[in-house]
Amino acid sequence: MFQSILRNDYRSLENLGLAFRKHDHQTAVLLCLDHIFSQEMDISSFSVHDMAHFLPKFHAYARLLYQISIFSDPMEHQGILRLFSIMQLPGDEFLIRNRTFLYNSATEKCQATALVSEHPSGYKYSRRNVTELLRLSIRTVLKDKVLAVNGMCYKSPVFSQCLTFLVTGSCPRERCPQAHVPMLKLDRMYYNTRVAIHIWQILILQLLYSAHPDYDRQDRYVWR
Amino acid sequence: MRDWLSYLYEALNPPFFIQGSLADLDMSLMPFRLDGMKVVKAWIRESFYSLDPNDMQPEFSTALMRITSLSFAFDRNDAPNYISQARCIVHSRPVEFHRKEDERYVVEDLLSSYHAASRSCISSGILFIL
Repeated sequence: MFQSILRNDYRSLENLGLAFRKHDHQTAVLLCLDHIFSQEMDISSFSVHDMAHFLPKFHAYARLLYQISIFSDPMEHQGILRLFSIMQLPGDEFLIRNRTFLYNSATEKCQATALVSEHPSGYKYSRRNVTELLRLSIRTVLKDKVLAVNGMCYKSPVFSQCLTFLVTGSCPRERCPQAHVPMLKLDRMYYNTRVAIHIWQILILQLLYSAHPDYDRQDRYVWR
Repeated sequence: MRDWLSYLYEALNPPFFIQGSLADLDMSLMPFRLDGMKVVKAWIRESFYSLDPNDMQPEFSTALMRITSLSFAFDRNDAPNYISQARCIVHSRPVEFHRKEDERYVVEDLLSSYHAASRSCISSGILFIL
């Protein structure tokens, strides 16, 4: 796994992720998926079938992030301690090592640093504060990633089909923002796949809303 | 952010018959089958409660038709119950939505035509369109 990460070999990371999922090795799955979804992505040219392949994977990733963010006592979970390179110190304190994800995240969130004490190799936290830091950081990642994908879906043509093209076989618009699908492709499977990608997108956004209950959800009732 | 329920409605009911229709919907091909639907049902229910005829006069009947169609497509068993508690049924019944001839509230006609449980549901639907 680490070799694939170093080589940026996303295909083998995907297969590894699937294999880890079968063995219920959640933290390893998260590590694989996190590398896959941290690369530069462009899903705007995806076809409906590419999208139907992409969104379930992204949902699995977002769901893992969400699950970690609601863990009742993550510091009791050895897998999480290893994944985030957290070291337990005597006196129920925890060390966040330099240059780790949580260290950077703590440095960014300046108000959090007030609650910690310095340590030669990082920050020292109480159990309560490190749990809070972990939850906050994971929720931020979840929000950023989900909003980025949502923005890309917004631009993707597959969520709406060009009617002019469908009826006449051609479309005079330059850079038509809607998908041009040949009539022959439109079967029952195609219809159901299109409905399914909408539902995936709803499930993904629901994870964001669950992790951020204060997020403004008004936009989903606006009927245009 | 675009409104995904509205787009879900459009995906389910495309304008051209060749694109498919609700009759083609196969729940076994949907994410997590019925479990995935729980979230969609909750969204539909929430938007029903938030639907306010006074807030959005011109688009209200379109929105109501779309959301009712979604409720009955995905949540046929519970739909009549929560719809009967919606704001546009219980609290605000604007004058604009009462028919001139017989003072009937047209929203009720629309809902009963989707519900399709009573003998008069077809005539309710026709009356609504007229």
